[in-house]
Amino acid sequence: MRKGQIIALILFSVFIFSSCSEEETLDMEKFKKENAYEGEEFAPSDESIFNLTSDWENQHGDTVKLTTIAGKATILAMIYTHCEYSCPLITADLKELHSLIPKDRKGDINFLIVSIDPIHDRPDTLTRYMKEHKMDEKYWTMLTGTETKIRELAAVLGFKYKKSSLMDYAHSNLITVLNPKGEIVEQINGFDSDKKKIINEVLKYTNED
Amino acid sequence: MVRLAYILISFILLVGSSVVMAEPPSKIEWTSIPSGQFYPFFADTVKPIKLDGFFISSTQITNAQFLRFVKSNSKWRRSKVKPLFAESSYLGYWEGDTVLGKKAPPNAPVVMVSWFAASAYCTWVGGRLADMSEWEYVASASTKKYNAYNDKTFSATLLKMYEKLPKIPLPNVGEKFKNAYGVYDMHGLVWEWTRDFNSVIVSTDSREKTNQDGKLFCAAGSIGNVDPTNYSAFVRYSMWSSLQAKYCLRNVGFRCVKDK
Repeated sequence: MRKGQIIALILFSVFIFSSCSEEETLDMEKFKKENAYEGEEFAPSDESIFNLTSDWENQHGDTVKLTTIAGKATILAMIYTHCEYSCPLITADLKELHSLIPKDRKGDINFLIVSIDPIHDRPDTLTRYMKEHKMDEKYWTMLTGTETKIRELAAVLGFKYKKSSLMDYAHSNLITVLNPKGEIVEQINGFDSDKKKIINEVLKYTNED
Repeated sequence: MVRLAYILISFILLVGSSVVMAEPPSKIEWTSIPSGQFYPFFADTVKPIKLDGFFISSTQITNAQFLRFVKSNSKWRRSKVKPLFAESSYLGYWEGDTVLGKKAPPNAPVVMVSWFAASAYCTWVGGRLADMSEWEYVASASTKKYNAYNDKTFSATLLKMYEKLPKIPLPNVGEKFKNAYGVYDMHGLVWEWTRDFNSVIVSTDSREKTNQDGKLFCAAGSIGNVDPTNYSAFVRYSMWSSLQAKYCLRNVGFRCVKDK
């Protein structure tokens, strides 16, 4: 009985992996060559958020473009760090997602948090936030920008937000999955999200070895 | 030979005249708006918003004005625009990439432009899209009064205007409703994009408010104070909340503002 189960499991996983490698797995080297991320020749695909060429500041205060996450699948959310309502829940969701990714494939997936509060969320605030939440820079990036850039990114993602008082914002609870080209492949609104679904989607873009 | 020359000359004339016709005066006229206070419709506090003064284009941006932009910024041409930034219906009523045609009179407002295209245009002219609060501040003026939102007749007039917004081909800008600031067509011609249109947070069904919004939006419950007499603002906010930035609709155009 036990043997039978194991065999069934092996067969099943072989089936899954073979179907993946046929359709879903990306040849990363080939893919990177075709989509030169650095240099002037980079031309984002029509649906890619990398068509937004704005400059952002990361948690170190370095000026970067959104292409800083290109080449890997990315799980992205917009929050502000001093939020007391739902942002901690979004961050918890992101961390849970990160924990659900198999260890050997964590390196293939970016986690990106973009702040919607350009006034209070400066690079040092972001660094502190990442430390507090034990977010390893190997996998996590935080960005802050100007009101205009944030509005533009929000517009592309379909994320709504509004300053509701001096310190606080009302905003969508939205988690977005981007493929390595920066195209939106999955979006989850609210907290009832099926995390397995997101993980399965995002794992399509990782190398299996 | 003579015939050939004749054809050539008429061709040159034809091309020449169409170039001249395609570019009527397309300079933007700016109206100065003084600083002041404004009570937004979806207020989160009872305190008014303080606004700095700014300049606003006296009319909505016209087809002719937008054509100039499209000509010198080829990535905003119909055939070139990225689907991320505009639906396929973008400028769909124009005859061609850089040809207006019958359905797009030069001085009628440009419509079927996405929020991205409208933002890009305003940046190109050295300005930006108006914030909703700025837009509403200017729009609250009747023909005689600066702040007429609590004026019942004004509200009623607006609702009547909204019932019958004109259709393509649209009439010219700057011919009908001129408000106390001297700004035309804030109501009654086409709806307008605002910079922060995506800050209107209402659920699809207000009866679900507490349940649904609580999950989809953070802190959404705190911004439900509505002035029930201002139904025209409710119509506008509903319109804004239903938009997505890449939408290109027959009845949504825009105007620009500039900081002082």
